[in-house]
Amino acid sequence: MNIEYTNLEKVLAIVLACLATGIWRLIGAIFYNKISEDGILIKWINAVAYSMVSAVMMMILVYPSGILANTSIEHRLIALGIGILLMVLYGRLIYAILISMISFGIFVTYL
Amino acid sequence: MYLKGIYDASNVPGFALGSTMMGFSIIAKEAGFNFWMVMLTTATVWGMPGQVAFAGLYAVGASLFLIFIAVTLANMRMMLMVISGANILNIKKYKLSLFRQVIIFHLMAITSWAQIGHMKDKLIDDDLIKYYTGFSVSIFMFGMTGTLIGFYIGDIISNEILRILIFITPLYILLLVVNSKETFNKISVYLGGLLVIIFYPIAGTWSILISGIFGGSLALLLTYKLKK
Repeated sequence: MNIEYTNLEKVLAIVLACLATGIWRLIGAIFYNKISEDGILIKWINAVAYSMVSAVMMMILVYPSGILANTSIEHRLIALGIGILLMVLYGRLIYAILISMISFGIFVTYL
Repeated sequence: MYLKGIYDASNVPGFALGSTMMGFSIIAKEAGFNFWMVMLTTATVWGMPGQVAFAGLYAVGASLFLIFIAVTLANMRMMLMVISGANILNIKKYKLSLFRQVIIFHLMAITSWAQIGHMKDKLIDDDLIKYYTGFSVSIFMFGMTGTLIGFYIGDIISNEILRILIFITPLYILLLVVNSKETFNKISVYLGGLLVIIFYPIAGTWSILISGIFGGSLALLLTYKLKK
């Protein structure tokens, strides 16, 4: 169900969405200068950033919305597992992605 | 180095991000966005979770305030990525104007950030920032092109193909970060990924923040304990 927004509301919605992301980038730009390059704080920020990015991606894979939601969680996770295993064993990104992607394609098409 | 950045972006990352933005464009069109709204959203927000939250709330006629709060929460990690990315690129050294910094940090999204983390030990400072510029601008172009194509071909392309294309982005990013050199970052990736599975049913999108803080802090603590 689409609810009609006025043209002004449409423009405002985009401006607000842009500001909502820009604020964080701006705060980051102000603070990066004030943080020691080798200190514990930057290590913690890096660790939280890695953890958060991983969380976003896993959320998309485990609790997807849209078209990906029509595939089974087992297929998504097994294909991801194959990719991670190859990456850990051989460290070759391109092959890990290709084999994982092809596996996913086979799983969702034939299983 | 600019060319190497462009070349690297034109492989899996550009293809993956273009496909993801294609997926976003299809979702946004279904939500009632017109062509200009879709293009402007990708160009100005440039952060997939926030864009998807925006489209999802727009579809149900949510208030502008709620849209603002949801996008703010969904893209909060941008701050950490900018601080971490500026540190990796050693931005301080270049004394850039505010305008150039704004452009550089606007282009700092997950793919570019993960890529410079992957390349930081292979390139020296000056080369790394040139590489980043070539890479991130190209990725942005791929994203915009994917958004444009998605708006028009969403009705034509089969769902079987589309779901494989959409699968590539999370896969690519996870494989990049899982290969991080530092042990504590590697542990953070595994912990963040596991914790969100537990917390999401309880906390919804807040689980990203919770998993990020818990996972990252715990990983750092574990690494220090193990070293001792």
